[in-house]
Amino acid sequence: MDKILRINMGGQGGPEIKTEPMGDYSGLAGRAMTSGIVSKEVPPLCHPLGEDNKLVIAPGMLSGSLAAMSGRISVGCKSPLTGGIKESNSGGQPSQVLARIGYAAIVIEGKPADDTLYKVFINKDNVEITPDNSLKMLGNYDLVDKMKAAHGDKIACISIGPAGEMKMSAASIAFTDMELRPTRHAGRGGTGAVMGSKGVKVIVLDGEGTQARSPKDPDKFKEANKAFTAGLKKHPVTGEGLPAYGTNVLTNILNEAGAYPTNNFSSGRFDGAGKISGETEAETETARGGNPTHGCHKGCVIQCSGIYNDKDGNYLTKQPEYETIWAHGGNCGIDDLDAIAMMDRLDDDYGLDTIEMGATIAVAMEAGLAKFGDAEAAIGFVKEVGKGTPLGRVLGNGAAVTGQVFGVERVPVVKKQAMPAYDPRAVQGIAVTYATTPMGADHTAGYAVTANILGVGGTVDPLKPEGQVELSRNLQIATAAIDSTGMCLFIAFAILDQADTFQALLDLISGFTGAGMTGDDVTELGKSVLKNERNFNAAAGFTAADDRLPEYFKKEALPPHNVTLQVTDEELDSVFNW
Amino acid sequence: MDKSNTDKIDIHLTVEIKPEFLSLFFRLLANGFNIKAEIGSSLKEFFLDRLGLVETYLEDRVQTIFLNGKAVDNIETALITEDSTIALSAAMPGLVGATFRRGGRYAPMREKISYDTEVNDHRHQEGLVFLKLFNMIAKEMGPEILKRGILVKGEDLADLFKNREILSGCVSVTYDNQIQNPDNFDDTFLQEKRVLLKILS
Ligand code: SF4
Repeated sequence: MDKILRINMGGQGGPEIKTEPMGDYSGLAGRAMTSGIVSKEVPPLCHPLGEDNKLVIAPGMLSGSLAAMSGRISVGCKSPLTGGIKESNSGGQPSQVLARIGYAAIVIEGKPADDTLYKVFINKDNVEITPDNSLKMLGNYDLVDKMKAAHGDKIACISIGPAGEMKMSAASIAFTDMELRPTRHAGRGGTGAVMGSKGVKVIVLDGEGTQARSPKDPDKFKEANKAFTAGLKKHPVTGEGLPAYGTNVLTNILNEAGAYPTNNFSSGRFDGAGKISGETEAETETARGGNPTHGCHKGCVIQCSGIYNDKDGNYLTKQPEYETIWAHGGNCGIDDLDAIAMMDRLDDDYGLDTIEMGATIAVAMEAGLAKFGDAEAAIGFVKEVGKGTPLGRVLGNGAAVTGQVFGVERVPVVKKQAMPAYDPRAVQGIAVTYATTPMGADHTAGYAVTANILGVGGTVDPLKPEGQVELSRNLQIATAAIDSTGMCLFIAFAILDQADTFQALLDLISGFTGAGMTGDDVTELGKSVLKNERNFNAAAGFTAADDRLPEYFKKEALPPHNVTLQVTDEELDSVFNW
Repeated sequence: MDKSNTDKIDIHLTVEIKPEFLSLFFRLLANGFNIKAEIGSSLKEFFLDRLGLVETYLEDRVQTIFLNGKAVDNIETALITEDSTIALSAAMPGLVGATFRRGGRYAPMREKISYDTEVNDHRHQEGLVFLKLFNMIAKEMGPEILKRGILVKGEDLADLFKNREILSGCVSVTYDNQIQNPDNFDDTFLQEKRVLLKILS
């Protein structure tokens, strides 16, 4: 992983391919790499779909090695949804394969002369880019089947569906899983639209003849990897809860807490939650011959994913995760697991962010386009998006646009990106992160380890009201750092609770890179990523006024606890005073 | 199931089931059921004395506890009132999952919905509470609780029996001291009844 691949789609005689040394970006990976390149090379005021925007795809620091959990990949660009910087990350196989081939990043830049669609093929010896208009408007599933037929089943694909080609702001980029299905997505922020604007339909990675990346200190690395894996396996969340039920184990909990956004964030409780809970989902999968315990890439030892079969026992989709079940389920008043799984399949095929789509459909329901709970209508809306009908074009551009078109006031977005599955009135700490992360409302932007473990920003006194602000700041720093390692964020629970597992992670990184790594280094890495991102947004015109939740959260009390948002603007503005 | 404050029992139903089918009844535990408790006692007393949990299990496994929908940090000061809803869960993933853990460092993030001792009901008399068991806790405590018996609404049970797979796992069904053949089991008599359900496996 010592070079950067640049593909200029706007070259004189067609796309131009160039391989460069790491230069200024030496030592960077994952989110640090994507945000580093975007903040340095993309003019903040450029049009997200124009020639000056760049799409950066970067494996994590440990991707391609034998380190457990290290296969996450980051995608960065200026977001067509938020207008700010975006890092969206995904699981799947491509991170491992791209890293083994040796690229620390693929940068797609410029703008093609016409609407020709291209396929990129990369193996250890070669990079080819060929026009292929036969791929136009193919869904991700058919597209990957076609790639398999042409290149065999040892490949990994990065692709867009029709939504990306239509440059919709809810369009995702798909990454194939271990079974070569396009089920993992860099979902948030419309990265798929940027890939579509560059005219690239698919990047095929062939890792034939490549080796696992070797660590600088093999003994230390091996020992640390063993301790790290054992730590993950012994923790109740990473070793039991997530493998058994996946992230959807949260449905019953959030619902019990009255923090489960229901019917477009109008209540914190959903009567049908039990029917779509993780427990019910796992039971359904097992009964139908699916599998509730499955990894999204080789080397995942937590295995929070699964296989969801239809009533006849045929594969329908991967196990939809908590956010998806919520977005297409409770947030739309829908308690039919099969209908939700069908929407997950359609989203993956068209290449759409499930959170944005679910939130958008709920806004459409609020506007009166269908009734809450009408699963058939909801599926119909997703299909409209896939076909690109006029209504589909509106919905495919997200909740903010849909709310504006249909005159809805209750639109749960920050920086135009839809909020995920936690009502910020009930869990006010998450409100701070939703409001202030440079990414737009995002739950993963504060998902990781905290101050007291990493030694970031001192120890938080939980009794002080500013605890929420400090926690959010520290979590955002730690998340930015973990996103740069390529580690799945779900490792956070084990390293949060078990000091020896956190030490094993630090040893794993230093065993691999040969450089010592301390908690302070992690902090500095996270801070520098956030600084780059915030500077980009400021130059793109973002101000403190963009670090706010919609006003109705302060005015409308959320049942059952009847709470309103109490976090003050001053508190929000102090998050990045470090 | 809607919680109900009556301890009237219309039907005593005992089901003997093959062990591999037992987990199909855990949905009833997640939906909630009534169980007797001493009103005015602390949650800790309820867990140890009524549910028979041992302290190490409570500390290590039951990481997330709700009383009337509010996350509880201190189970010694949280008091049970008549008709309380209590929910138990293992440690949860995600930042938000972690915020609900008892006394965790993320607790400030959900302070607006944290349980604050607001009642002082020391009547110490027998009453009913509504208990929900989620995820690993249902798996671990479920068999014993189901063996001892839970009070559920007949409709919820009938709904569960719609999954005929359950009946194929039943060895016997006994109600009001009459043993029934599971193959001929007709759940219509359960409607609008309060059922004391015991599951043996
Ligand atoms: S824990 Fe889940 S998201 Fe993380 S790498 Fe494994 S399957 Fe993928």
